[in-house]
Amino acid sequence: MELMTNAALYQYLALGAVLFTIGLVGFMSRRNMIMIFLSTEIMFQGVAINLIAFARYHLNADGQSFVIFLLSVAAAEASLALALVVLLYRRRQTLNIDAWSEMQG
Amino acid sequence: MAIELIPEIILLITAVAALLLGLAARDSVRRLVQWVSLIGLAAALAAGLGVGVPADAMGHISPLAKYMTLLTCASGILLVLNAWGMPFGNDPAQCDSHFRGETFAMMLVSLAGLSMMAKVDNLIWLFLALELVSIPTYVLVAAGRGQIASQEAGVKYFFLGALSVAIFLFGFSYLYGFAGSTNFVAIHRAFLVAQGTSGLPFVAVIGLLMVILGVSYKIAAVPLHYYAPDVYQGAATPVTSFLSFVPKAAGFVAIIVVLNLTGWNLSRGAANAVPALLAVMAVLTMTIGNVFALLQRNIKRMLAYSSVAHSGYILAALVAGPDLIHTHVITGDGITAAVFYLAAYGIMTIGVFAVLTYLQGKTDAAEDLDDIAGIASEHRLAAACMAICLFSLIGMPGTVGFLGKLFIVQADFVSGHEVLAVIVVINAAIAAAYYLRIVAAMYIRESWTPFVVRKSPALQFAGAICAALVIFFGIAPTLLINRSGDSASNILPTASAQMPKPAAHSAVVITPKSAPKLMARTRAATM
Repeated sequence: MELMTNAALYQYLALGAVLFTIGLVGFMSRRNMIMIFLSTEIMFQGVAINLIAFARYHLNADGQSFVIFLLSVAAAEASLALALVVLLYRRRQTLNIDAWSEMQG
Repeated sequence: MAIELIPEIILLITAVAALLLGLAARDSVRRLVQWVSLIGLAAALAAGLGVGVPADAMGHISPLAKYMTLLTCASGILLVLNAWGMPFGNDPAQCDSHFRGETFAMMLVSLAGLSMMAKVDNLIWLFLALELVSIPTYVLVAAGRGQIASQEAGVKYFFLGALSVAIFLFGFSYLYGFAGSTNFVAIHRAFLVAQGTSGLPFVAVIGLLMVILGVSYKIAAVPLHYYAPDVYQGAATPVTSFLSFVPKAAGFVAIIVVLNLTGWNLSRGAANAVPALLAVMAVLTMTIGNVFALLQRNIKRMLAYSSVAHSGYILAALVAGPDLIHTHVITGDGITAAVFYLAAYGIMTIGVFAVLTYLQGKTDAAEDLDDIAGIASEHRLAAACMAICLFSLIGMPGTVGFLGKLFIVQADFVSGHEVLAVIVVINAAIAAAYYLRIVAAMYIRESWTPFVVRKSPALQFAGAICAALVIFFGIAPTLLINRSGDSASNILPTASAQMPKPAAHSAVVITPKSAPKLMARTRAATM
């Protein structure tokens, strides 16, 4: 197996960072709860690309096993998110996050 | 079998039992869940006491891990007593008053995660333990009460939580990239090598900064603190007391564990950014927490900002860092001060919430200052317990809160952070104003309405125990000092206990062709 060059690693890291930033911007700007949750999922995928690129760079499996755990935890969070979205939609018939801002101060 | 994980195994088995028992058709059977939870926590506490700190290299439980297990189980018992009978039948915000077993099951799972936090020796485990603490708390907040405010709190807590997980995972990925392994011993070695040669590379520093920023959500510190008042107000009050201690303790242990990897040797070059970030976070967190708490009338929101402020104090202790030579509070060790304060804060905040729940108020607890006006004339004991815990939060001499603040200020002075120490003292003085407003409302003001109190022996017991512990550890703190001093000693990951097998990481994918090249590459220096 060929070693990965530093230049190749930086490309993957740049991709990971860009995905992470897209997710972060989406999290800040979107108002629909499902879109907000998808934004956090995009951030997770950016992290996963980082981990896999580093795993290939260091030629060990730690990063890959980390990604498997990351995906299963993300799935657990997704199920919780959908349950929460259904619960909130039944209450207010809207998924706009601004409808849920009664507490102030 | 992993003997050091017995307390967590007991907690998880109890959680499963509680979940199944909570599905029973009869309400009286479902209520057994509370007793089952208490028994499980007591058994885990006994197991935690029994699991010693072995001197040999076979079982590698660190003193910090033992301390956290004991603290988790002890606080867990108080938190279960706080939630006794929840959801409360007389809460008008409650759509149905059927007893729910899953509340206690979720608490137990979260506590098992907290107990596991300091036992991990791998970044993947640390991530899983942090998530084990947080995911049940999302359920607790959203489902604790059938009220719109509670669901609003749940959605805010959940989405910000997912964001914070992504941020600290990004930091973890860079730490892994820096060290080439997720094992703590290997990462620690990579840090030592880098510090010995050229100083830390940027990838490691960025990793550390992202981890601290992400975890700041768990401890409700400044960049991600603004959810705290809404979530604390919206959640059911026993859940609020849970939130004010368990995720916060988990976050601080995570920061300590991650910074242990660096050997706390962060004064050179780019690594300087880490203590600088901690110091800025500490100052902003305690100041913003205290100033905003002054503006609140709702007691739960006030306590939320107070919880933010106390995170700032503990961060100030972490800025001081460990005194690697002496490691004792008397000599001004920052880690000892931090874990001591964590226990102290847990006791006093759980005590305050126990009394608030006991007093009931209009919904499920006394939330407004008017709800507790003049309460001291009728309910002397409850008011006294509350006042003791509040005086401890202020830091009056004779209480455990005073000693906690003293150790933090001392650690900052010894380590040469005099300005930070002065800011802590000024903040403690500001904080006195709003805590005293609660005390004044209880003792000086006339009562408006006839008081309704919850006749719950569990709540009375929890409040009395907390007040007694505040006084006891304030006067005779030796036990707590020794325990926290032990837990700060020997904090670095030692190669003897958890040495990975040689080449265990690379054996899977290395082909003979690439092996010589791999040997030539030093892991950290190429970054």
